[in-house]
Amino acid sequence: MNAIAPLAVAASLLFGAVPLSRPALQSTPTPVASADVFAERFEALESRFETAQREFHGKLRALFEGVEWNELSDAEKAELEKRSDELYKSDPGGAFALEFKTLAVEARGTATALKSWMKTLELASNGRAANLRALRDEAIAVLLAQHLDAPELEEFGNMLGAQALGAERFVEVMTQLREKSPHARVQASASFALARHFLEIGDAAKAGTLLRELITKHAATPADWGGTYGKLAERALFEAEHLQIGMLAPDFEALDETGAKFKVSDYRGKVVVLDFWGYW
Amino acid sequence: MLPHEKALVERLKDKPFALIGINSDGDAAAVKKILADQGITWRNAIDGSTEGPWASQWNVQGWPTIYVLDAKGVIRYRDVRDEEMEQAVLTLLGEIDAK
Repeated sequence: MNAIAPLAVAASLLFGAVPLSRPALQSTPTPVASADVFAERFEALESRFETAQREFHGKLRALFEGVEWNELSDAEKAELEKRSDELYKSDPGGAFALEFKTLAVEARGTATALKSWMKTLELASNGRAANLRALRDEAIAVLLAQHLDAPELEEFGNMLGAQALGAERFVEVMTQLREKSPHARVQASASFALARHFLEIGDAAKAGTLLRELITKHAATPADWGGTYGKLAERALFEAEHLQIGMLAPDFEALDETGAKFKVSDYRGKVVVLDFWGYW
Repeated sequence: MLPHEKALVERLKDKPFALIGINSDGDAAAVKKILADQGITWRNAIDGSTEGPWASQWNVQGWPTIYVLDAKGVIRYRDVRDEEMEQAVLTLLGEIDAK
């Protein structure tokens, strides 16, 4: 089992209905009515996308139904991979990313624009096709330029990676968010993503500075997947400073299945494998 | 994973080696049942859940997460499984013999 950032869940939670005030008496169409229309179109588009995605996932599941990968011959594996690649060409994410973008552009100035650009970004970031990269970059640029004060930008920290964007652009985007967003959660999310990036490339100094700032400044800032960003940073800092290859393993005392107490250091003199696991 | 680990434990039973599980399935009673059902003979720490004290402090984000320590207690490998894990352990055992 792998811990997976709940992108789809988070994205769908963000897109609740936006209440709009309506003047009591109007004889001509108002911008408010137009905003409602865009909201309806967004909902309809989301619904169509969900249907298409369900269908696509169904086909993927069917392809791999009952397959025991380790029991396949090399030829069978190659055939299955080929069919899987073919199937992925029909992934609706790409086509819908474009539709969400089209709506976002038309809906400029309304709440739907933000939602639609976020959806464009989500789908373009997840997609396999190369042409989605341009769409993703455009969505990022527009969101930063026109929606910098949106709380939804907290998702950037989960959705974007340095490998996909290129390290320079990634650092630029996250820095802009952590410095310019008015929302604590957006600042924290961007800072944490930046810290994780520096850890990955081995810049312990930059990572440490960011994590320490998160621990103090964001001790109470709630994080998407429970707890606070400060707590997440504490854990990440401990790992960075004590659990890297070449470091003496920090001692830990625990109870085993018989109720007996033991410590890691009890095993000095032996080669030890520590295996964090669950049967589920 | 499990078949490889069982084979490794059996093969190295007379060597200075220990495989220790840190389990997140629940309390001791629940875990004892799992260990018995799965034929797991080695020691397991009862960490209680995926947010248990050990997994939390060590920032465990995915399961399984593996650390391999040498005889001095130094972390030498992370997240190695099956053949890689076996190789890592044998290499570190070799360091003991080489002294």
